[in-house]
Amino acid sequence: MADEDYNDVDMGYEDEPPEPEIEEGVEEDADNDNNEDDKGEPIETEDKEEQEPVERPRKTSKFMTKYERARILGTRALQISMNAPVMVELEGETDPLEIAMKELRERKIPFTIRRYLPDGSYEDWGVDELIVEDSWKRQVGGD
Amino acid sequence: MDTRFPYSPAEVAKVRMVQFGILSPDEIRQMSVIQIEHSETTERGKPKPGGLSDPRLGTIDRKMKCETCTANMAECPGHFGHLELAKPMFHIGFMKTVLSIMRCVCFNCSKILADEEDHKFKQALKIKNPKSRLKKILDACKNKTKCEGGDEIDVQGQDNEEPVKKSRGGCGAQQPKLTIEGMKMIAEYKVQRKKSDDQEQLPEPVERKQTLTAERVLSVLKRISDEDCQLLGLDPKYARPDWMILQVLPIPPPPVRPSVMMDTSSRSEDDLTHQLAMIIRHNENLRRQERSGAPAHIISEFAQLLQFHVATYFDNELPGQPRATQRSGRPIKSICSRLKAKEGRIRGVPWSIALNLTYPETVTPYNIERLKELVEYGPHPPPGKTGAKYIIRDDGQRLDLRYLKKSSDHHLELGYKVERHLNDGDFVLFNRQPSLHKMSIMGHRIKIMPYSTFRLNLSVTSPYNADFDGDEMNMHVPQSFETRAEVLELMMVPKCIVSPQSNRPVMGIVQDTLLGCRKITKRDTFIEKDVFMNILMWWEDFDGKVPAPTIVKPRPLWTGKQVFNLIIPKQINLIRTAAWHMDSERGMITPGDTLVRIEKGELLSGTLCKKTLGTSSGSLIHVIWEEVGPDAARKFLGHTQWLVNYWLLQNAFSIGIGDTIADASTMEKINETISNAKNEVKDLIRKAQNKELEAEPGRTMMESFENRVNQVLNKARDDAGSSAQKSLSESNNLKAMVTAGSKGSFINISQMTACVGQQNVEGKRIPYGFIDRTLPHFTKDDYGPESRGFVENSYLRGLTPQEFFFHAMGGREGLIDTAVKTSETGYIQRRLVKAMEDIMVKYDGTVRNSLGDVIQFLYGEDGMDSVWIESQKLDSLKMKKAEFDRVFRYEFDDEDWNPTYMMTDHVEDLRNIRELRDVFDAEVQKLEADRYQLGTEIATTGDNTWPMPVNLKRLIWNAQKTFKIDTRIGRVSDIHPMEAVEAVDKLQERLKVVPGEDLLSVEAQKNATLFFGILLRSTLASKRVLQEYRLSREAFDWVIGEIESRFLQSLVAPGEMIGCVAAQSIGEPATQMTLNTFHYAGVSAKNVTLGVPRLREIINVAKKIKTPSLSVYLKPEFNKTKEKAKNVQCALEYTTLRSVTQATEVWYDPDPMSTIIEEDADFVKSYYEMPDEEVAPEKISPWLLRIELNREMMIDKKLNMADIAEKINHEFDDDLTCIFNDDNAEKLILRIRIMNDEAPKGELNDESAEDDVFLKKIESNMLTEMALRGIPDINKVFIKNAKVSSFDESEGFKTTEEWMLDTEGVNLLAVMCNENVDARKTTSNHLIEVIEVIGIEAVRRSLLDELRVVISFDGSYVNYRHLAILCDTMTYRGHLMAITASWY
Repeated sequence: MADEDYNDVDMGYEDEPPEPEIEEGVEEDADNDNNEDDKGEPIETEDKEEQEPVERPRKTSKFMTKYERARILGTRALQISMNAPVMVELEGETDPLEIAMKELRERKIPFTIRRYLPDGSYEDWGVDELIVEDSWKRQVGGD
Repeated sequence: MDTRFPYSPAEVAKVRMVQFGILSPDEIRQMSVIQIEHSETTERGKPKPGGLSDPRLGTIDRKMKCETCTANMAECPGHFGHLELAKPMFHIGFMKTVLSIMRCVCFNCSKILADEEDHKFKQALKIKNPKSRLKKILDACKNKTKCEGGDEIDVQGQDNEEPVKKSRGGCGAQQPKLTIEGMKMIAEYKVQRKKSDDQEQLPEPVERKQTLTAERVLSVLKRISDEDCQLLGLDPKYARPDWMILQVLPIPPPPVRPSVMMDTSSRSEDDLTHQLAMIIRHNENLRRQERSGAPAHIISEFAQLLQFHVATYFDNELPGQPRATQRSGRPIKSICSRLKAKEGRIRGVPWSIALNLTYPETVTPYNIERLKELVEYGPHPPPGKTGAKYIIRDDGQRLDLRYLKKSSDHHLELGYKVERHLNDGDFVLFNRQPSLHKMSIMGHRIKIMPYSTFRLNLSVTSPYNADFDGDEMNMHVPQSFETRAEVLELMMVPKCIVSPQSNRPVMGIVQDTLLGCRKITKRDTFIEKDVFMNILMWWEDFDGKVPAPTIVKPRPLWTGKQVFNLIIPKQINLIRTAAWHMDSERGMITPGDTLVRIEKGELLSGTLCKKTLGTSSGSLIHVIWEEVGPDAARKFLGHTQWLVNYWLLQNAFSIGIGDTIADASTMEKINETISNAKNEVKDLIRKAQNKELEAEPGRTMMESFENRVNQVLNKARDDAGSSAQKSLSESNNLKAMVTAGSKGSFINISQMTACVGQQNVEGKRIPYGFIDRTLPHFTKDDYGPESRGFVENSYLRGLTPQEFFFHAMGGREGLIDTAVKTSETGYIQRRLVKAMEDIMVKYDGTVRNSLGDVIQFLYGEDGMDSVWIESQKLDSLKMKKAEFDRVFRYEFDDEDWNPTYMMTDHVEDLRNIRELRDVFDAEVQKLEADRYQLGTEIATTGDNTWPMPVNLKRLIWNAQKTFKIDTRIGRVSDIHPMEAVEAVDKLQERLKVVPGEDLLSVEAQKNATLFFGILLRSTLASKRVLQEYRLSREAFDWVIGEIESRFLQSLVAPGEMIGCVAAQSIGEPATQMTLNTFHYAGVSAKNVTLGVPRLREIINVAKKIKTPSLSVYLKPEFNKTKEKAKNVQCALEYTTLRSVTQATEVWYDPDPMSTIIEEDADFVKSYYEMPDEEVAPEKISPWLLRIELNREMMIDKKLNMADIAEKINHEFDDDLTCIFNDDNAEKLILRIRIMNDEAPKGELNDESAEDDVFLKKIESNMLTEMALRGIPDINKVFIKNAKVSSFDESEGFKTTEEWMLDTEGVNLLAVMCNENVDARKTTSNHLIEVIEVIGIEAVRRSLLDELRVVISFDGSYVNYRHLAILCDTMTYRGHLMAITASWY
């Protein structure tokens, strides 16, 4: 609606190109054909074993990304807040997030990060294997 | 001066206190000057006495004096009148208070219901605050159902021999339950319990539920004793409860509700007047009904109506009430809405956000005690405390603490959740619309404070684009630990200080603090001991040690720079210049103290201004953030504000009119400048009128005239402005702000003190809105500066009415422009985001969208995150050969080579070991190859600063400082040059962007690090390390290690949604674009669309663009001189016959061999003496088309008569015959006749009649269709002189001037085919043409260049990778994809 209004406003301009035709249509048809074929056959059991952890050398970065770090801290803090056993010695911390940070600092978070590559394969990295990026931390020294 | 307050020698009394209260009816009558009785305002054209415009209320006529105070209209403030209400009415603003009071007192005897001995009541009496006391008493009285006391208590009292005082002497009446329904008060009696032994003689209520009239309520309130009033929190002296019921209505005077003159006779009254008239009318009706003894229900009906109007007069936005409207249906604006809301006089209803938002906290052993306390406080915690709203049990049951009274319900167990109020230190998201940025939503740590506004640090206003003129912002509380962690780790303000958009900070020191920083760091600023001690107290890390004063005698004084020494982190080394630094000043120190030098966190010299403390790339904020980290940067901002603001407060700063006044001699100079300019314009006008003005190429004379005038006037304004600016002394406050960079600029100074300058509408001088003139104040056809909107006055001097009008015209255009632009850019932003929102960096380093299509194989071609990128200089690029050798090459072939920077053993090694020398030769060869590649492939423009990761120079400098390297000559480094070379080689191996050993990965890795490798090698060449930096081994190793770790940290994190970042980074600067179009002044006449309209064209991939144009480069043989370029220009420009035609005529000239036109007789004769070809004269038509050509155009286009005749002959072959005269003839004449195949046979008339019609057709066809020369669609071609720099091995970069062409209209293919055009450099700004002619890769590059032009035009810079993402999404499929709304 808003778009129509918008176009109405400046009639002088007719440079909005026409909508490109949808190309996916062809592919979709092909997919459908396949499905129909499948229907005739006895359904193949899609029990393909979960892809084996890849044997080839892992090639993603050995640094923990900031997104992984945030996710791990959040998930771990949630666990701690739900009374999960804490893996480090506490020194008066009560905030689950703070505890999680301490655990990460001491590499004590019992998580494995599964990094999915675009082809669907994945690499598993233990939190203790990754170098926790201290690019932020180098700096937390401010306080 | 106000005549009501003439000068008096008596001392002005001081206001000692202000007492608020409620007006009593008596008071209203006393202050009233008149009792209003009539609802009409006027009678026979005059104000009606006793009406709403009674002259005693204050005059409404300029000619008349006020009948009350005899002052005239300007001075009389107006005087209140009053209206006696027929019946008391509720005051809608006091309804709630009246209800509370009514609930506290007996309905019958007006005594306070609560027992004096009641514990609650006693407690209530101890409360000092009257408002809370009333609340507590209400609590105590709420549950009383009858007025206790009376006989039984009396009896008891006697029995116990206690003072009678204890009896409260209630009347024993049963108490109704009181409620409000709309504007009515309802009393409801509980059904009496029928107990047999009920002794009480209560009057059985007549009705169980009854409506209370205001009259009845008034009677109750009136009886409340003064003592009880005090207890109820009302001071009877100023606010008796019965005054809350309206008996007399004050009538505000006309100045409060001014009427507007429609024409001489009729007036349009204010909403309030209308509403008052309504009240008076209904009041009169009610009174009449009462007098005539109408039945009770009728009277009540009328009273209701009056009540409604009285209520809506006060507040017309009552919930559940119909709005009182004007006849048109528009709601009447009540007194309340005048005061409230955005355009009102009070802003914002106090509300407490912290007690409204909650965070669900799960109960754990760690927090159970704290949460228990919060739950105890409940939803209404005591002042200064926060509480909780709900308890959520582990089965999901939700307990609302508002209704939980039993303390047993407050029980908490592990696993429960408590929805607690916000606390100090909670993390929240803070947002201001429009959210154009990721910095428009940031995480903050909060502190709960009183009053109802959000408060935020000034430095954070710039990313939000917020100010405090009524901005509204939103706050969101993350509701789980996952979100909290994300807020904390990814979104907190300190982490957002440096933005990826243009790889620089978005927050800096602003406003007063910036001004203070500039003032405090001046050389002549010294701080006394007392002030310095107080400043120290603002310093968070103060450890009790006071730094030594700079000056000890006669008294200790500290410099302002020392304040900064406290707070700049110790790791920081930085050199910057102040904004007013001149490049001509060199050396370590300058007279203006413009060289900012910070070493090891110590401000050694320089004044701090916006350039150092602002948001520019490489500023102090940027360096601290990159070197020490986000929190340190945050802390620095905070500290600077605290310390400097305290100092500024002690020193004071203000600005006034005096700061805008220039001295007399400057004023004279300014006036002279302007009058000179005006004379110059006069001269131009004279020239234009005499047609002596030379037209600029590609412009008509009028256009050239306008252009010249504009130039003259703008120069006048700038000259006047700069002399004004020069006249301002160092102590000028305006100048202080401008130099600090906190507010104002050159243009503001010049407009305030010198001259406002030319006003423009649609990019031109003010147009003629009347017939041949701008305003009736001018004569017609006046092209002078004054008449076309040149404002020669300054804001200080004031504008003439005409100038003011022109100024308003210009200002209005600006307002319209911004309004239009916001919607347009908003839509562009939306489309950009929608097109790219799914693009993300994947774990394998590729950039893909949600379909898995690869957009880029490596983000930004180098895989870096632009947050960690800084501009760095490639030293070798611009070096001359000799300099290059001096810096990089060891002179070991020289016999006397004996470098002072190298240890002697090492020197010997280099002299004697062949293999070593090979290594260094290889090093230099590589550097030379690097330089060549840089100059010819990468940085071909000669620009030697490029955004790159890891600031090497600063790293080296930091190493020198931390490892205390002595850089003086003669100090020898302990590194063997061989080591340095090897270390750098090995380091490069370790800088992996693309892992993997397969050929593709290796190639990709090579491409990714190529540029950085060049920088690295040229910066850390072994000779430079030894000679220039003199690094010790320790320092060198540290640098190498640091480079590696920082490089790897600068890589983009997989998961980064770089599509969104790119969209925002392009959309946000588009929002800030101001001008619609821009016209190249002077140099070239080419007009280009820029700004938002051009961005739209690019993004939409418009088929028809507003200003299609080619940039044509010429082959080296043709670009050296203007003449040769001119030849190409003529060859390209599309020329039709029309463009060289002066006039055309059709003649009847029957004899083709001679002519009836005298002018032509000669050359026709001479032609036929020696005709070019034999033509049978009988075939020739008697009709003649005679074309006179324009000589100037012919010369300009380098055409001659023969060319044209040949073209005509070529086109029409034998159908036409064409004769022409000599190129040097006085007039250039073409004579064209039709040739008829068959000889005319007698019917000559008929034939020839047809011929003349046909000839006319041919004429128009020839004029437009006949291309004499050039390429179709190339309508105009302009020559321009361009500076081109090209790489030269020995000279570094050489800039040469060359001639090139700009066209209006595009035809790339045809132009490229011209043999004199350098097809490899020639480009088009029409994207579709580029993809059709050259292909997808070319169009990607065109797209990038065109986007760059748009963005850099208004001074913005956007990092390459964002533009690249946009270009790649538009082109990765092999065709151009427009960013349009076709995805849903």
